[in-house]
Amino acid sequence: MLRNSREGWGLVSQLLHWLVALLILTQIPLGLAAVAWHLSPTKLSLFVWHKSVGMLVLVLVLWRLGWRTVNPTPALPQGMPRWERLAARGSHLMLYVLMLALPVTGWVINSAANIPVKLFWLIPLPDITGPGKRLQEVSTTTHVALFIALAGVVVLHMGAALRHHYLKHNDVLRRMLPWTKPPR
Amino acid sequence: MDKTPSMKKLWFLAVVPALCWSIRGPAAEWVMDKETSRLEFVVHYEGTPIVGELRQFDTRLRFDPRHPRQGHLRVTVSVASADMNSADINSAIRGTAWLDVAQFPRGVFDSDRITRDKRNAYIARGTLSLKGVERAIAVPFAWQEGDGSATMTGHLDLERTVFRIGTGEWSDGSTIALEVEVRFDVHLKRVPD
Repeated sequence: MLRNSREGWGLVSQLLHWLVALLILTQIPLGLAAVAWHLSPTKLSLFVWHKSVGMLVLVLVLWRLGWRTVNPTPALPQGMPRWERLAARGSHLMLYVLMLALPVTGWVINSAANIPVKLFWLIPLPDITGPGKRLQEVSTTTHVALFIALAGVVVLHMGAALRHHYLKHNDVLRRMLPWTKPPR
Repeated sequence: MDKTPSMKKLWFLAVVPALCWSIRGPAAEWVMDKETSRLEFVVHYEGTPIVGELRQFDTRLRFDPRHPRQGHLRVTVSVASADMNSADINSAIRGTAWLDVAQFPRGVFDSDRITRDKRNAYIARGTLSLKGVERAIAVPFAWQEGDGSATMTGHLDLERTVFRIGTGEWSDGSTIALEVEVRFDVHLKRVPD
């Protein structure tokens, strides 16, 4: 039940998928609010939340990748055209790359800005780069560009899942839902 | 040469000050070596210390460790030279809620009295003028003197809100602590008599 099979996702993969999805959705308003807020203790707290959730996403995505390597990946539905298979492969690869690159570039921004942060007010985050104004600017631009790319790929991902469910009537969406029984 | 009565009366003008000078001892004048002297401050953000440096400051000192009371210490600080090694923090602390460097570019400590605390340790009491606020503070320092040079080291805690540094939402100290440690390592050269 916990592990994946060739037919469906196990509970661990399902929960990680939805948890990361929820955290990414939380990150968007948190990040935008933190940037827009006037300089105040509230602004700093919003940034602590954004950085904390971002690092949590990084850990969870690494866990997902690790879990993927020791579990079978459910097969794509039979009869999918070649371009769809390539698009599915490519967009999932993009999702993983972006889910890693966004927290990492955020970490670089924080290090370059040289602002100490304790994740969830508990765990001090070490710096991965030295301080630097130029590096901070470049990593900030990259972070925003990656966010726009992630938003695009997520919309594609959701659209594709809904298309599989409503138009192609297969179990691609259903097998990611924890409350549906995987086929035996 | 005959001594005229007027000159006889004038002898004390030369002798008395000379006598006083020899009893009191000449307090040496010292100037700061700007290359090696450091003035730092430590701020705690969410319990994490962040060290800042005041890159431009000057120390003028008249001081003889055997006669500290005749000494005088004056430190002038370019508040605008505050550097916390972060572009974001540096721009934030220059704002009106913090240091307001546009209106108050300079901070000054001017001593009224220097006293001996213990061996090689002294206290300079005087007035700190910072962000338009004047407060009496005590600056303890250790004195190490060599051949024509000396070092003055020490640290003290200031409550930032006394000087209206970090106003409004920042004034409760929950995010950024009220206590700011100031520490200095000042290298001095004796001005030849």
